[in-house]
Amino acid sequence: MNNIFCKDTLISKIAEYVAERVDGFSKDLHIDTSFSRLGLDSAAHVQLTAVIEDYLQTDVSPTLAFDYPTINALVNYLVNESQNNINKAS
Amino acid sequence: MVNSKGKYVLLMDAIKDYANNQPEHTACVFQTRGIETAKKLTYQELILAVNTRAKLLIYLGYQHKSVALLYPTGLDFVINFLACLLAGVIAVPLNVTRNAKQLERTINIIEDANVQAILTTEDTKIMLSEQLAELLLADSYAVAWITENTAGNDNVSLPNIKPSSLAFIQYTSGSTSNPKGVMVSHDNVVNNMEAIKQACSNKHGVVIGGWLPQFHDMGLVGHMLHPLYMGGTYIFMPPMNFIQRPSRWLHLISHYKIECSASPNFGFEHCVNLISDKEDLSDLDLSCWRVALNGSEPVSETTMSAFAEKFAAYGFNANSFFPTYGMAETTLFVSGGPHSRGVSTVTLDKEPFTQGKIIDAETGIDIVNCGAIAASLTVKIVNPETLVSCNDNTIGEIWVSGSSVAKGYLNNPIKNQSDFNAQVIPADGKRYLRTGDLGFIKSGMLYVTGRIKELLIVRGRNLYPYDIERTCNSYQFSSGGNGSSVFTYQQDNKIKLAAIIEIKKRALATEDHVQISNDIKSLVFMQHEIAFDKLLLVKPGTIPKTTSGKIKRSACIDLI
Repeated sequence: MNNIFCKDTLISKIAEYVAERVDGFSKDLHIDTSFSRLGLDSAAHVQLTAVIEDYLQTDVSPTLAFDYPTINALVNYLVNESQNNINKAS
Repeated sequence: MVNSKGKYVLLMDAIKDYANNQPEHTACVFQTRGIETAKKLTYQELILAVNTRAKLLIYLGYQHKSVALLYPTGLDFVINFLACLLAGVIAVPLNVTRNAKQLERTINIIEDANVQAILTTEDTKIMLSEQLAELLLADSYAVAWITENTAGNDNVSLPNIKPSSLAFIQYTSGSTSNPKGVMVSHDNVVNNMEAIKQACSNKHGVVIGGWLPQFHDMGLVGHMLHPLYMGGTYIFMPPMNFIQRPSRWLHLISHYKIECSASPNFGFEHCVNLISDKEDLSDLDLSCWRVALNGSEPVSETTMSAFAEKFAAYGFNANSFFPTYGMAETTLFVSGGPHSRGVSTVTLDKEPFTQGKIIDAETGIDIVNCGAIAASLTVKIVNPETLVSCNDNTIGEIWVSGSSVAKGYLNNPIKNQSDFNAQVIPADGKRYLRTGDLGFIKSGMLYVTGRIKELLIVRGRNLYPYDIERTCNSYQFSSGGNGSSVFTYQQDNKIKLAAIIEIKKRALATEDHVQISNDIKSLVFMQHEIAFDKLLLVKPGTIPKTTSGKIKRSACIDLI
């Protein structure tokens, strides 16, 4: 994962996925609410990572949303990862 | 070793034979992502690795003892499971999990099976040993770890295995607190291999596999052991990678020309709902997929036809659908096929049906045909109250007898007497397994209509309402006691999970209901990894109950 991506776009992509499944979801209110609290089951946690894969065009662990269970935690982890990879590469 | 009928006596006899006769033939392929990630083993490589591990187990003194297998999906599981079979060690396949509730189940199983050692990878050991050690220590239980770093001594000889001895213990969907371990013998395995071979018309060298977990009966017996018994190839991927992107399963089938691949109904549904038009399926060719087995949860005709329609353009033949019925208690397979029959249903008159009577009608209830009963098994439909064999046009409990039926549940003599040694009236000298499922037989085909036991099957998982209700009752604002009802209902042909929970009056008046719902949802998710489709908060005393205090689930469905 050493591609540069737009953090806000990724947040929007994930929010779009959650909004399709959760009534009353709001990106601004629930950016730090855990996916399970919002009512996503384990299959949805896993499929969420496919949204990330599609946007980043790279493989992402299927269990990532369990390890980083809010939008903020997930995106911040990915930003750090990509930063680390860029540093390693340069 | 072959017996008088020219059949292998043990599964490992077959694999040893193939290692001699077709050493370079591919036995297993494990692929995590793209084709470049595939790891393969030939029969020769497999038997060498299995021999080494089997000798290690003997050297360490584990013959006749139970050993747990805690492996992430992969070739290590195949090698170590077969090593147990070769060494006469009783394998206990388990799911690697970091979820606390699941770990609790793992601990219960380790204790129930009196597990002496855990076979695992160094990485998994590091991940789990702290949590497991903590939990096991609390019970002052000593268990050894065997990893790839454990060295043995090759100077031991492998034992002769009695076909009637235990091969492995398949833990089935018992509730967390009370796991049920099915005792499967070497005999059971071979008998069921023959049953599957006949039903699917499998030939030597058959290619089988998919995404099913290796610690489950369908993934273990159907996907892994069966192709190896047939001198074929076992192709597999991590289940999670399928859930993440279902098209990977279809690409796996297409690339390796898999002939038989099985999934519970929800797997097919996943493909229908989640493979988007944006995905590149241009190189997908599913014409190799002769037998598309659908089992382990109720089979939906709607799902099947949607799947067939969506993938017809990629060579999928609707006639490959193969609804099947089976369970760990019968090693795996009971009925299914004959192959290339596709999905068929019978339509029954609704009113008599609810009374347990089978009367054909133009319109009414459609029941999916779960296929022909294996020739080596006897299936009887029995009245579960009177134990009298039912007439042809009556629904009753499905009872199974034959060499595929396991020895029973470990440490459960009472249940074994009632459920594995049942006698039908009039007596016919056979011992029967009571499946707890309801159904009927029509023209030699088995139809499954429901369950006697209170067990919910949601998205391929068996759930005990009682376990989830207990979690709901433990929530701070719940009225507690018997104040939750968890049940399933059907909507648009889908099984949905609902709960009605009685909340203390004061909390109901003063607390935010959305907040309460969210709290309960996350509590239930943490402990059971399942989400409610509907959640209703009510005043104490609202849930419909029988005079003896039992929850009336059917009345609950009406409330929702």
